[in-house]
Amino acid sequence: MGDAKALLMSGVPELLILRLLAEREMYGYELARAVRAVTREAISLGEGVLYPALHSLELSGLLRARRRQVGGRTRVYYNVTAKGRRRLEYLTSHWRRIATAVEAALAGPQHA
Amino acid sequence: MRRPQFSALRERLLRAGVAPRAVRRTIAELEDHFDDVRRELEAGGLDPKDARSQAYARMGSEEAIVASTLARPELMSWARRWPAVAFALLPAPAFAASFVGSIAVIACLGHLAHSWLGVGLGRSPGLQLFSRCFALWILWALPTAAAAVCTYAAWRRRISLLWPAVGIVLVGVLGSLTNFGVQWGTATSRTAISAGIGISTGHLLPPLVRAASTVGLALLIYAGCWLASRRAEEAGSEG
Repeated sequence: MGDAKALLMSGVPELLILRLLAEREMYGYELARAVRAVTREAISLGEGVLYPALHSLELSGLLRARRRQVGGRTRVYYNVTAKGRRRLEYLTSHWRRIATAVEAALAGPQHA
Repeated sequence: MRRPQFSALRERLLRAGVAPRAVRRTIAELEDHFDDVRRELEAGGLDPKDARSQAYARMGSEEAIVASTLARPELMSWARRWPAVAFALLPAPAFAASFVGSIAVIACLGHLAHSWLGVGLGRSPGLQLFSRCFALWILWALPTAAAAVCTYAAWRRRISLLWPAVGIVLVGVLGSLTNFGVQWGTATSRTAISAGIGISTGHLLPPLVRAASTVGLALLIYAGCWLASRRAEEAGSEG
């Protein structure tokens, strides 16, 4: 079951991160809260797994990170690069195609 | 300041071959995130102990964080993947390059001294002292520094001593065979620098002492780092 869930979830963190950061820049904790809010906690990612994903996306040039001093603490804010926006468009259309196909399959065969 | 709550995770990531820079950053951001979650839960009315344990639960399991990191090859250390190249083969050429670079610097200084400052440099006590210090640096300190960097870099990646030991022995031997001398120019003569590599069978003891000191100091640094990390690990498991 764990493997099946992992397979279903593959690519989801990347899509969510890019989607949320495309709206505005955020630091990790803000992003985790945003993920919880937009998915209505249906997707329960351990919040710690966001960071390897964020760092990997940054190394791939899809995100840009910058440090900001906020309330006496240094926060690392992430935002989406132009390359990241192109990747988001690709992932979104890909995900919609899959979702539509799965919805159609779940609705049952419709013979003409 | 390093906090103990993610020490075990730090060690697991390093031992799994994740690049030290990526580990440091991940741990720092996890610690901040953990503090934010804990504060949020305390502000919501939980007592500090429950807030801590729920904050840990929200972060996800150590296994999940490690698995998520290892699934991303770009976060891995190349030196960990190729330890023989990074720690056995690379240190000696790196030392040779720094040796040549140091000589290039002193040659430039000699040239500038001759062209711009002019007469009597060869008799300047300051320059004589500088030459002696420089010889000390290039013949003794530079090989030791190269070997120390090699062992420290290996320890940061939690790499066993095998390949770094080969690297520091090669640096030690190469360093012990180098020689250097400088004769500062005067108004009538140019600065002369002599440097090279070689061994005299009649004087084996000095190079042996130099090689042994380089290797010995580098091993001491490795042992010191290893002991420090063991203590930090023990402190983390107690906390």
